[in-house]
Amino acid sequence: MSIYFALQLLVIIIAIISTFIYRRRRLKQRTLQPPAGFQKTNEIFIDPTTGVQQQVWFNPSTGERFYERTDKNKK
Amino acid sequence: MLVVTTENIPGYHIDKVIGHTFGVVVRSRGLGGNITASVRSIFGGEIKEYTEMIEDARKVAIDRMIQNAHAMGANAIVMMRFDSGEIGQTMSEIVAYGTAVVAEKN
Repeated sequence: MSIYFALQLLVIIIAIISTFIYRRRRLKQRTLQPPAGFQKTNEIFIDPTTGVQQQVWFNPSTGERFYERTDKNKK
Repeated sequence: MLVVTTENIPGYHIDKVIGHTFGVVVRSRGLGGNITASVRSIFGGEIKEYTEMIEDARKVAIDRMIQNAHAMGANAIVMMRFDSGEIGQTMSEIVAYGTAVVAEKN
């Protein structure tokens, strides 16, 4: 019974730590330049989770979109 | 690709209506995120874990909708809307949909 409880606790602790690491990585993402072939659009938004402004780029030949971080002011 | 929520685009005329286009995504927060969100909900305020999940879902839904419209040969989407639903207790579904059109400048 105590082993079962300890295993449960271990799984929960690992899950919480991995979530914490994932969120920290999201906040510290590097600013990437849009790849060749992408065109700047008028779409700009502020990511509500990081507070970082994002510029949207569009590739007219593939239909893909690219999100460029344009503002380094984070929450 | 021009995406608008209005029926018409000022300065453009709709040359051809291709049909409806959509992008759908279902996302879950995961065990760790759900636990931290549950703890956060006790104290109130914004549940950042879920805001993050919905924001990512919104982006993916729009990306997919635009890729579908592009595959149909459209250069614009009019009357774009979002819809959302819940699957189970921890999964969220977001749909972005609209009408794929060929719009030309006047």
